[in-house]
Amino acid sequence: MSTRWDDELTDLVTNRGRALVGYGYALTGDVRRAEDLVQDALVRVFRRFRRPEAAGTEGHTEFPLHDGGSHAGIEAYVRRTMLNLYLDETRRFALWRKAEPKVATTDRVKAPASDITARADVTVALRGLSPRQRACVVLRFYDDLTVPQIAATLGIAEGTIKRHLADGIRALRGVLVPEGGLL
Amino acid sequence: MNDESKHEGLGFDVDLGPGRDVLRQTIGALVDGATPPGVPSVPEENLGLLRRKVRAWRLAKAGAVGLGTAVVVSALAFSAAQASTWTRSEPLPGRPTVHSIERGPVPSEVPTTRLSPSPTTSASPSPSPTPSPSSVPEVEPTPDVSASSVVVEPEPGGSASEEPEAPEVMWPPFEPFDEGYFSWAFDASPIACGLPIGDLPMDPVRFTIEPNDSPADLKVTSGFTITEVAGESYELSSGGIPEYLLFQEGRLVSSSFGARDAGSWGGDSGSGEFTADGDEIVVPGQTWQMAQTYTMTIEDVSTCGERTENRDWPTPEFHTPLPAGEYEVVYAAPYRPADGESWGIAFSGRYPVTLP
Repeated sequence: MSTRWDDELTDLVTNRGRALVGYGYALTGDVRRAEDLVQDALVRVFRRFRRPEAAGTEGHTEFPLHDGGSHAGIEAYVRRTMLNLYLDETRRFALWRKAEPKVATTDRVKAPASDITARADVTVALRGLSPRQRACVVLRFYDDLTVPQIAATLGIAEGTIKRHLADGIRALRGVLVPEGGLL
Repeated sequence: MNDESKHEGLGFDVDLGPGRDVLRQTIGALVDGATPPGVPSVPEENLGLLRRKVRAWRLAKAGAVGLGTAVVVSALAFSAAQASTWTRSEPLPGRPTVHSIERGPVPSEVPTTRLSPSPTTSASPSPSPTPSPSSVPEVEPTPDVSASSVVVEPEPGGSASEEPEAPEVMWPPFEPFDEGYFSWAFDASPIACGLPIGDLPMDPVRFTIEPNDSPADLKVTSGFTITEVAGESYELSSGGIPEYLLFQEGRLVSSSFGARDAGSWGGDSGSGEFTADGDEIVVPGQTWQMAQTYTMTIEDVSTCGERTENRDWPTPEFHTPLPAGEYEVVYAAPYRPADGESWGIAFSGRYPVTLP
């Protein structure tokens, strides 16, 4: 006999598993890391899960979701956990990665089969961003959050968010804006 | 939400023109294309394993409810047994003296602070806290002798045979020493290199923790016991691991490399009450189990010494070795209260540690 959390987990993974892996890939730039991130977040969320809808969402960050389905509250929490895990992991392994720079090179990164060639430059440029810049860019341009919302989500001051976004956009502008374009 | 409010403070963003759409579409393509069409995602393939893992956690937690009281009592008893080892007999300079119940390794004497993220607030070693009189125990501050370079010398005419000679306190303890710098990414934090331990910020909400393991081992393998939550229950968001602050002669001389500014504690067992976000509601006496064994490692270089910034990573590289000697470590854990608009740091008591 399945329990309620069991059904919720099954539904979420079945219906939104691909989207969650995609979100993790947008953050990490590596499918395998994205898959680990999703599974780690799912276990962390569901081992202590209470339905977010039960007590409303007042006072908590709201994530715009793209499925419009019934998984919104749970998926939003899983995604927030993924963000926290991603930033925590990158901080914890920062020194190790500095010692082993080859880990981050693209030839050792598992790329998705369906990368679109026309956007390859942007994809590569995104991989060159620091983890925080990348998280801010994803939250800004994919989740469509404002600076105050990103600051609340990541627990970082708005000024810091603006700096990360400005640095990130500066790094991306070469592939986003045609020669002679404004910026 | 209209476009104007969405772009508030994003002058660099609105000029992106068509590049915005390219970026949005690219990220969308990454999300959509991570798993090839027609192939189940890895989480789907591993659904059975995920369910077993979650079930094991939840069963363990249900079993722990009956044992919870015994665990907490054991942890507190262990803390009390260690008190004589962990506690100094005399207060350090600048440390408030608390006229309340004496308990264990003085956890309640180190308060917490709530930080409102503010890009304009700079670190200062001398904050001006405004504690609520209704929730903070009466304290009698000892003279702050640490506001400048300190050299303690024997009184004129004093006899070494009558009174022990006060040790000479050198400041700074090593060179170079970047007083006022702090390696954590809390923009509003008043904590900085050189901060007197007694100047750790005060806050009306007092929230303290005790590590369940011997701090001599610098390992946190069985989490923390929350020893005090005054005034109200508190909601914490889940996440990371505790950090540490390192004091010598009562002043901050190093810390862990950087508290993750996006998270706080990982609570895997506790009150059994949850917020709307699924975060646990904290209650006094709650034992916080870590998800994994965590070893608190004191780095052998100081975050207050020489450093090299690395633009690709939030953590600089530090170079100045910490001198051998006696230090005190204070565990610190950022937390996010229920209002979601501010951040706080919970501090443990202070524990002596010797660096070889």
